Amino acid sequence: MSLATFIGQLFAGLGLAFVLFFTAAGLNLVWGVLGVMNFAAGAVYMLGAYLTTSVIARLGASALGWTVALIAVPLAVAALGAVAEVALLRRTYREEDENRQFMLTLALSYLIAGGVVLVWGTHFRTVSLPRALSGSWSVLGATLPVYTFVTIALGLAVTVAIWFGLYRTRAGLLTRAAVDDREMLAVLGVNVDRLYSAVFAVGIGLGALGGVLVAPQGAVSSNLETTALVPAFIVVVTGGLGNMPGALMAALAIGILESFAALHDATLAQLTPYVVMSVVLGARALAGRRGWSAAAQLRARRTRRERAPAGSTAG
Amino acid sequence: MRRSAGAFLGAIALAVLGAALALSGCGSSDSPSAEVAPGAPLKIGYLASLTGFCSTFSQEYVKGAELAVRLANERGGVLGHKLQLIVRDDRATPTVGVAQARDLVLSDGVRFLAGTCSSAVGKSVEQLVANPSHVIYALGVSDPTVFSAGPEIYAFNTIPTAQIEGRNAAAYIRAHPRWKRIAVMSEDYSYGYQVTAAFRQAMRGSGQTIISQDYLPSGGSDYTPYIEKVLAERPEAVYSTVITEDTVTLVKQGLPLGLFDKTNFFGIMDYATIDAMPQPPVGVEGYTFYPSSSIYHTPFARELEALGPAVANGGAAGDAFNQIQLIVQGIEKAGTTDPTKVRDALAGSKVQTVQGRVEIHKCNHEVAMPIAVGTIVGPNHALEFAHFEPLRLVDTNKYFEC
Amino acid sequence: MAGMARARSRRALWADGGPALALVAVAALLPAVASSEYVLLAASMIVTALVAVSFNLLFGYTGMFSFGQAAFYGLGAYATALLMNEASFGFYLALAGAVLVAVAVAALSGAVLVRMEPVAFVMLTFALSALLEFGAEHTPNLAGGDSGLIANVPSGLNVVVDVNGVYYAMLGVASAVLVGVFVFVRSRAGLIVRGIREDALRARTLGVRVERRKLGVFTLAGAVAAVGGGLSVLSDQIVYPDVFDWRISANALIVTLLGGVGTFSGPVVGAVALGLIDFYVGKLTTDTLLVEGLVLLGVILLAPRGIVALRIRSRSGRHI
Repeated sequence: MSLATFIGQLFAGLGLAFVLFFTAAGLNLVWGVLGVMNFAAGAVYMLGAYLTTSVIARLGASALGWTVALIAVPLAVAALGAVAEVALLRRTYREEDENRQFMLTLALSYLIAGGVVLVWGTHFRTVSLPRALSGSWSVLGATLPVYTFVTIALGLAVTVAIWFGLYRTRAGLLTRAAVDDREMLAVLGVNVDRLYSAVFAVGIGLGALGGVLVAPQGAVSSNLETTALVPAFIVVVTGGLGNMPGALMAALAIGILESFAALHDATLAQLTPYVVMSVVLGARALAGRRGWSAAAQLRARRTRRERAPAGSTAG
Repeated sequence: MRRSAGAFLGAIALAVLGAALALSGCGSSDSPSAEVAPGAPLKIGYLASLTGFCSTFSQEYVKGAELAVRLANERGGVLGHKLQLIVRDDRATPTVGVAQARDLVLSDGVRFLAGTCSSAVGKSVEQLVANPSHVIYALGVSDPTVFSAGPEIYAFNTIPTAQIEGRNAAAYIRAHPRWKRIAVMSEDYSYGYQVTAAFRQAMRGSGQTIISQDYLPSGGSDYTPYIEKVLAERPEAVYSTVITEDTVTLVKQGLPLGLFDKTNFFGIMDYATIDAMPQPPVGVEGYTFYPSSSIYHTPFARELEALGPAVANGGAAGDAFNQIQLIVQGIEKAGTTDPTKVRDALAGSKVQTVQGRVEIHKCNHEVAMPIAVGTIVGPNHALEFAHFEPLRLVDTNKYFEC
Repeated sequence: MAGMARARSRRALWADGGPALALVAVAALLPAVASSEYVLLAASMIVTALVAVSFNLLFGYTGMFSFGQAAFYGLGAYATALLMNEASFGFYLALAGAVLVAVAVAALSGAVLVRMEPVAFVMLTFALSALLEFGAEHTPNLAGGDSGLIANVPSGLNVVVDVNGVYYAMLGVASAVLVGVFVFVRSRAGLIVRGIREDALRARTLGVRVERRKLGVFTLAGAVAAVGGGLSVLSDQIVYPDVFDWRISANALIVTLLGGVGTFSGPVVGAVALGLIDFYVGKLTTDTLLVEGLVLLGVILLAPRGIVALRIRSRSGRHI
């Protein structure tokens, strides 16, 4: 393999990885704090992409149109997420059955997918990139699309922002505290409801951001929902539920390996997420470690504790 | 608890058995007459893929079919029967298409079917209705195996199959003998496999080598790794069977990587698809079965043009129009609405279509539609949408083996 | 005392099984009064009901949230068609073979899956069905690829020739499965499984081998879904990779919730209700996703215990 090929594939793989990471990070954040596996993540990704086509179609494929889409679409979808959290999810946290939350997000995904058909119809949509982003750069003999640089740069920026937000701000401190003990936080006078809404909104916004980035790169259609969801689930499980660095590593491994696997067989390359997941889960089982993060274990312990009294009265 | 459960189970068994025995005699096996009753409307079931992967063209299909029915009825119908079009959504999914076709045949008594854009739907519906009910089914799909059973089948194809498409592409590449190293990029599903197989077979003995073969994930959102890989092989020509929205993704991601500068690109480029692109790949060589009606100077093409360029462009409307025409002209040729006689009258005959008079091959019921090949140009004074200029119509009769 | 207890248990038995029995009875009489359009609708409800019953066994009775019952539904459909086409089995023999295939796959995958944390179980069952869909799409020589697999249905069971005959065959098999499931959930094993749902830790302390029981239910549920898939071959005569689509798993969930989760009749009632909703809504709009989303949302928020519970509650007078 020539150096140019190597760089080309590595670069393309990084592009794949970061788009995957946005959705996975959103899933992880919501799971880690709210304990909700957000099935609507794929639909949110698709919604972000459709909204982007509308914004760019209205403002033109200029730097302005693209920047507005990049900022406004995730914010708008995040606001929608906050509304959904307040109206639907909030009433369920105190219930025993955490499956109802998953079902609510499933209903949300149906509503978004149905709404997309209602608003945009079934015809695929497509918009251009601004001229400045649609070219390519030549690096060591490899031709690399400018837009992939943008995706990777944004991916790194968001990764840093997530880390900074979680570990260097008061909101992040509270968020991490909420993972450990929600009741204690409430006793200390923190508005946990508002914190949850904010976290859900951020998680949804991250998913939409992936959709924004992918929209001008190809055709936008209802395919996006499932093509985003399955690999993102796999990334989250492989990285360890609620484990942000784990998800980043899993996304990078899957993206880069898939890109290199494409050199040999494009069809089998599509199996990369499953292969990586099997290897990681298998290795973890052999090492005797449980398949999820410390935070999730805490959560599991907590729910067990909370459920114990309910169980004894029922029995 | 035991006894009660036994009573419960017994009740279920009795209910099912009793009803089965009582009703087994009154099945709906009284086969209706092969002909439509005099004066009764002639129902044509139309499977439109209103939702699902080819919903892009669905409205155009329906408009074309409706136009053909309207024209026939304005002339007083067919053999004294007014035509009645029953449109159903097959969601481009075989199970749904089969359910709709089954219902059209069983509940509406339909003896003539048309439509679907999905080969899988076409194949399963053909199997379902061919035997024993003998339903004429006019459809435009690319899977040649739908029609491989021979002249006994009741299905007729109104577009070139994947086999014809692959042979035509090979003829184009062979006409450029200086291109020695050829890369193929295909859709990763049966349409892609079939075109590619036909292409490769027809390339044998050309002295040109196929250096790489990639099946791109259908509906995928990032083809960059595949494009990088293909270009790294330094092919002198790339042949692509990547269609509809995937063409959009391929073109967008291929442009910055040099897919259209570093090599000679030749691929399927439907008018409806290139027109949807904000920046169509101007200068690239492409082909389509679906050019605009405006390039054909036939009476039917003029009727379609009256529906406006949004419908006439893209050819989906023309395809559906042709399917209804095939049924109407078949009934007129046969002088009866008996499907078996209509089939025999159509096979080997010539029918009027949007594209002009074309032959229906007797051995497999495929209509020899021309394929349009040309160079992509943007909208200009001649046509207000992206199109081919110059455009060449290839007679596909030479690709048939009967 | 013993007599009263028996009477009460009998009443509970009829309350739990009654609605399903009533629907089966109506279904058995349907061809006499309804056109083939409604018979075909009922046939699709039979298939939906079996997948929902399978989901309910896992989620409703055992507390295992599977989002991949489409995997076993699809395996049942493909294996039935393949055994008829390639091995020239008769339909019932092919169906039995397909159930064995599903049982084997469920036992193997379940051995890993039932040990997973609940959320991982949801996602991995989902991934299993997605993986099988990919496999079906990419094995054109075995499974027909994305063109689908056309089943050589015996001429005696051709739906176009004899829609009522096929319908009764489907109803008969489905009724037998319902009887089997009823016996299971009413048995001691069914009781133990519900104990695991309520408190797995306590069940374990009481000496229940939780993983083994869970695996048993997972396998049984796989078999039930496979029967649903096998029966769909009769009415559709084709198997297509979208038998593994996640919307089939989601549909089983919606149907079960709508009817009443954790009750025997719930999935059956729900399948009929959603079938009717889809049927009439489908005449008005092609955007059924929106409608199904609203149904799901409405059930979760307004009637989390489903239609069956509404009926029981209103009869006992505690709720109007």
